[in-house]
Amino acid sequence: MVTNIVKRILQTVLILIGVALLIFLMLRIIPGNAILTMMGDKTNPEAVERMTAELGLDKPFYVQFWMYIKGVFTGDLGTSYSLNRSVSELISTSFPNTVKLAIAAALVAWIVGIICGIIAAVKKNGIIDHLFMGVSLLGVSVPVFMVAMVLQYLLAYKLQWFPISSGNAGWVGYILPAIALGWNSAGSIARLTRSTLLEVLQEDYIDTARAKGYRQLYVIIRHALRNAVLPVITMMAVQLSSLLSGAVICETVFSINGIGRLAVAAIEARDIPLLQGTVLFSTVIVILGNLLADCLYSVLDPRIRKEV
Amino acid sequence: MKNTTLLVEHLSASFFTGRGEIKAVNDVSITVPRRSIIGIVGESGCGKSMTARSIMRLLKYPGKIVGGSIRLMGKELTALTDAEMANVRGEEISMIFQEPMTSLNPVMKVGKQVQEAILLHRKITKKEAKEEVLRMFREVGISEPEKRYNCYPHELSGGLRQRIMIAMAMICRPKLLIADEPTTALDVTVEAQILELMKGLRDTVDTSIVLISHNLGVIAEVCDYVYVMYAGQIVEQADTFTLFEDPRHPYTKGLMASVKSLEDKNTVLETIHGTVPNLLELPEGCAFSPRCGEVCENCRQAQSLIEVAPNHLVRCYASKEVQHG
Amino acid sequence: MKKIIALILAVVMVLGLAACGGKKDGSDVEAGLLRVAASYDISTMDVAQTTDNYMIPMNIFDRLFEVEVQADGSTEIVGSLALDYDTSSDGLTYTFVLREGVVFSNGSALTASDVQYTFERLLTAGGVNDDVPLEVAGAEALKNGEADTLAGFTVIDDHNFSITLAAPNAGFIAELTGPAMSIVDKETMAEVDNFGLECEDTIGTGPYVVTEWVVNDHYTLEYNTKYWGEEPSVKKVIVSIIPDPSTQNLMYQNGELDILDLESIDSAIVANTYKTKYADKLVSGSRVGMTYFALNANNEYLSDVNVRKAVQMAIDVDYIITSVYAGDAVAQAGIIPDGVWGDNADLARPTYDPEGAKALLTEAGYAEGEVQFELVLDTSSSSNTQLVYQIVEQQLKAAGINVTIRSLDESSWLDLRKSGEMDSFIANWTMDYNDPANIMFTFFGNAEKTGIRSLNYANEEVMARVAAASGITDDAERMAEYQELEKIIVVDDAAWVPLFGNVHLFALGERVASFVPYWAGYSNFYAKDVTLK
Repeated sequence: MVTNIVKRILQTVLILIGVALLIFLMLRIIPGNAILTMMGDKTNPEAVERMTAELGLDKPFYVQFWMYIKGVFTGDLGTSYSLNRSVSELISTSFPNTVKLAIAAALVAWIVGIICGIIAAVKKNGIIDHLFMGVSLLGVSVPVFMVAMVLQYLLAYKLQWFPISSGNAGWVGYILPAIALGWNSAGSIARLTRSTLLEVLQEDYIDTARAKGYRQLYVIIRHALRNAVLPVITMMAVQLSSLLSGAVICETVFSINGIGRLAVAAIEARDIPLLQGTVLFSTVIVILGNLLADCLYSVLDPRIRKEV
Repeated sequence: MKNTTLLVEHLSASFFTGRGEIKAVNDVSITVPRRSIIGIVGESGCGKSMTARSIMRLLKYPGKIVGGSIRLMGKELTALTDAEMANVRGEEISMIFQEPMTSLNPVMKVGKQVQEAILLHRKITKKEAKEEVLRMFREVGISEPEKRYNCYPHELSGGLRQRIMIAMAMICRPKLLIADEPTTALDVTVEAQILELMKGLRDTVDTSIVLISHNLGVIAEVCDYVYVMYAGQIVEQADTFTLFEDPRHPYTKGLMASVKSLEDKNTVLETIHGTVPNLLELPEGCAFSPRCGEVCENCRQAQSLIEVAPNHLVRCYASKEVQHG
Repeated sequence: MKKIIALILAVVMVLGLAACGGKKDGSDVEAGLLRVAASYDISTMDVAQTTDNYMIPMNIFDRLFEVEVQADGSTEIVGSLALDYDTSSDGLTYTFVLREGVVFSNGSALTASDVQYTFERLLTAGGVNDDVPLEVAGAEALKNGEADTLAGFTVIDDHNFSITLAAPNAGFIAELTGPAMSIVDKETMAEVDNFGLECEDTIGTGPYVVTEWVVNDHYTLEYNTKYWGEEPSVKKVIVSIIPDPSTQNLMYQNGELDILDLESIDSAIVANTYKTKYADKLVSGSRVGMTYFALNANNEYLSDVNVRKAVQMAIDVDYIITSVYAGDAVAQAGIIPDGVWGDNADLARPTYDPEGAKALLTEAGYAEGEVQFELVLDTSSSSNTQLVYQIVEQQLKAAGINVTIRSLDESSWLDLRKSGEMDSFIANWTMDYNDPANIMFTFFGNAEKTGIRSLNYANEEVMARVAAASGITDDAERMAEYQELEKIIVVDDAAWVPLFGNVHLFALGERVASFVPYWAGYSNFYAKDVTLK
């Protein structure tokens, strides 16, 4: 158990260093320069020189990388070139908004996805099943920005049920973005829930439960769901990373000040520390999400409990 | 009637597939007297399990009961609503399955799974239910019941799991237990123990048992009366002694001949040539005729059950001739 | 199951109804509040460090002089923190009188030493806005660390000071109106650590103070009760960062924005919605500046003046204006844009003549389709600009010039342009202050300046004259010189392809009574000049 945890932590650290190195390399390969971008239309050679030295960009690549990694391990992610603030401060103000959005979207995806999946499985081959599966196919195939803009137009603009921009609207502002972001995942979760549930319903222990005298709905809730949900949990963890990338679009359309928008701004400005920080942070989140899924998996399935 | 636990009359059940109706159970009548053990024997695919599931009303989609009546202690089961039928299951009639490895929910403690069965039908507290479960565990011969109670299925052996299944089925002391190949997945010594246990329970709990098996040895060991099924129909029925002494239907004879030894678990029906027919393309007349060594012109006609001796019925034209001749 | 679905629906409906509190006419909005949107956030509130966004400098700070838009649309330079000034006969020394009784929003009094500090800070803080103070005598020495003070700046007493320039510059007062010349407080700057980053550290004399700045979300300006001027109608401004233009559009239509800058809105929406449904809500301000087509004289083909002339002849600016901007732009003839002092109304636009362009190329010895170069696009530019690129590509092809559009993101684009190796591009210049020097010197002042704009203009004599022109003290003479140079560059050397100046449209919400765009047509505006109903 302990060796496993140590192994996992080491793994995580290695992945993070790899990711940091990759971004470092990529940002040096692509054209564009943080300082020139910062100055915009004007150019002042002295200022360029001064800032280059100030940011340490004149030092060799490995020195810059070493300095950065050293900083990360002491909790210092550096200072954003373009926003002139510490990266950790910027992330800590925008990340809670992304978390709110992601949690709301995940709730939408999981609750709607699982409920629809169950209903579709129970009413297999019926009208409801075909309807749900059709809609979920739409969910899987329609891109996030499309759903976001349609929802914004219909529910916020036409019907005026929700604010158009979520910025200052409190939790109500998160409803539409959460649906837009969760929609996609809800579709795939509904499909997966349906298929695993149908598979599980063929299992012998389902017959056992029925033979005991359980009615169909209770058979599903007490016996089938817990088994059917295992692969769904893996999918949820995988979806966490797609939720994070979809968040960029939702944050833009609904004007939420989140980490996705911060990352986009960082790319546009060639703001290496900020980009590095946001990507590293997102990587940590995805890794933690997978870890959480593994833990949850072992809680729900006693067969693998000993192995984790 | 009072001494009849289950009376199945003219039961028919079919699968409705895209390629047509498959008559998996075709006009089957079975009588299960009180405290008796009835056997149903036949090759796989002959309709034994379908018959059992029809009685439980647990047919899998797209299977459906299309006719006949099932009366349990005089109560017509086919007329019950789904909810009423659910109340009957587990309480008055229960079932155990062939594969103890997969018949238990892998993510639930076995004690809980058994406890559920009694909590569903009895208004008792969880604590009382647990006491009852532990008592039942002891009754079915589970050692260290307290410890087993908190085990997950994968932590137990096949024999133990089947004992758990039996405990689960018997905990409400049902009138009828349907055991579908309960020992097929177990090795021979464990098989003997389980069969012994079932026989014992029939006496202590006062339960009738329908035992389904392809294994004539098992049937011979525990059953009072035996039905032989082929292609969805009963082809011969008699008390166990008569059936083994004087099998009349060529299929039954074939089965007997193929048993080299009653103790040999891995019986193979090598002496009956051919395979079980496709239920969609049944031959005209007797379904067994293409495989029958004694086939004659009369076999082209549909056969009906003929009483060749008291309580000994055979679905074969030839058996009548034997009687007359 | 039906009950559960019904319950969920009911909850959604209730939430929806709870959320739809807003009224389209804005009658439930806090009095005195102005709600506007920006596509991206400011990066700093310190104007010394940015040329990008002037909303904060324009509203939190004051300059010595301001440009005032008159009722007839003309502009006039008026005193702001400076009441009056005198110029010495040699045109080198300016003496200023500072307005009395002005205090910064933290109560510190405005004195001449604050102005001196502002000049010195722009030179020593290493920012990007040091071009104006660089003209003061001794500026180079201070900047290089050879001097501790700005020699040309003399503080006479608290409210009087003089500035001596290194060379005469008739445009100097106009330059002082640029947002970059916002006056900061010397005493405050000595005390605070995060000027430009923290609201409470960013102190000016302007009509508003910054009370809140949530990066990438919004910032809030509130009326500065210590402001020396009249109390404005707008008491509070919330600038929300709304990156998606279509979101901005929907917000305006739902009454969630009081002023919408239409520049980022798709031109089809502007034409179909705003020019019809909201026609009476539109206010226009000409962008004083121009969209130009820059040709790199270092390119194999573009180094030939005949090719450059052919390019000038190949482009149908009128067609671009009607098809892309629905008429909301004015064709330009030279380098000095319409509305800028010294604009030459007599200068003729290059004639559109694709056949003539073809003939010219043949005459110059080029085979059909031989002339080819890249037209480089900054992908962050507006959809309208991207459309202009495509039209220009087609028009040049029609004249036998093969251009290929190459798309780069903003950062790479700037990188390439500043390296001097971009073949050609289309971009926009908006005036910082109302003087031809602002555009003439910026683009053609010396080899380095034409280099970083990938023009690589080769006529050194002309460049020397452009640099010297600002020293001509007689205004008429100076303007004549600029106009002559403009003619040489555009007509004789064909080094510049003038396209058009945009009309900058704004849509006003129900709550706004009047709004005057900044004279140069910036997206940024003076909130104090907005009146609410």
